[in-house]
Amino acid sequence: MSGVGWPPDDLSIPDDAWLLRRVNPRWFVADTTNGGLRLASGAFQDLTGRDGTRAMSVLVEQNVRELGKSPEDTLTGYEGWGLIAVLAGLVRQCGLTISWAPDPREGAFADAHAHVFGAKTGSVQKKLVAGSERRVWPVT
Amino acid sequence: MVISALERLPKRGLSDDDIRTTRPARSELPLLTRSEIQPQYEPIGTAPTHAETAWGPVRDWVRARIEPLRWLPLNWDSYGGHAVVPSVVDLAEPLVTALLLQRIPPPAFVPTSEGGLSLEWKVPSLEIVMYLPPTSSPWGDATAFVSDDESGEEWESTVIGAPARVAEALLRLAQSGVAP
Repeated sequence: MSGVGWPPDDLSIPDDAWLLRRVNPRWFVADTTNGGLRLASGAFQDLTGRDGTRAMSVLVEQNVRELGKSPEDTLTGYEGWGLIAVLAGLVRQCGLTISWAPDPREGAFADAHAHVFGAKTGSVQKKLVAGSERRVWPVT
Repeated sequence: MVISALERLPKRGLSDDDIRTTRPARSELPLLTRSEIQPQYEPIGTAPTHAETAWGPVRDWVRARIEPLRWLPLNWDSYGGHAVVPSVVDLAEPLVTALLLQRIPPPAFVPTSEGGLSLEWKVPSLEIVMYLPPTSSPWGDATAFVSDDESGEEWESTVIGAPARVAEALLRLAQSGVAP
């Protein structure tokens, strides 16, 4: 599946690949059902880069590990932040596509960087929040 | 009052005149206790210490939570994210103030990477996300997503395209008795 202006969905990123996303503390909000924290829908939004690309950044876990690093290493320098992971298959079920996008700004993880393209509607955000796996969660 | 407030907010964003015309008269404002003003996750003592009827104190409470988002540093999200743009901050402050004065619980204020602001409410059976995008017309382009677990219904619309429906959902929050 693809949209106007999107790169084609790259199936070299398999459906069972975990996509990592760092979570700024402002994307944790109070969960009144249990007194803890929950992930905000706004954590899954696009950003238009300097090259005009409008997408959501993720790091592909398998590539992070191939670099000899752990997912938690992506939080180096981001103390107090969280880390969540979503399956590439879930992302595609939401009508989104995934494309490799090496980014030197990610430093050691440059080659693990990918973009998620497509409309992050409220419904899509809800599915991604519900389907995300907590890898690092702030202590409350 | 919520419907009329949403309908009267102009597409171009709010000016001082707009704020004066959409703000309820002092005599119409319901009393708000301290617990109603502050969200549950904030420590006691951060909200006004007495029941307030005035726009000012509620606005100040809202402003204290939204204004810092205007000054988020570039790359605050580690992905190149921008601060919430001024037009969105300037819209959100009177909007949320007006909603709180209608006894709608305060939302979570969630900045987005592209400079918009997501207002998020979530109670056990109802989730509402109102998104103010960083466009030239943040109110005209604002969207609302509502997920109702009771009815199984889920819908999304521009706010100005369905103000009554959005207001109805927000009023359910006020009636739920649960602070999100």
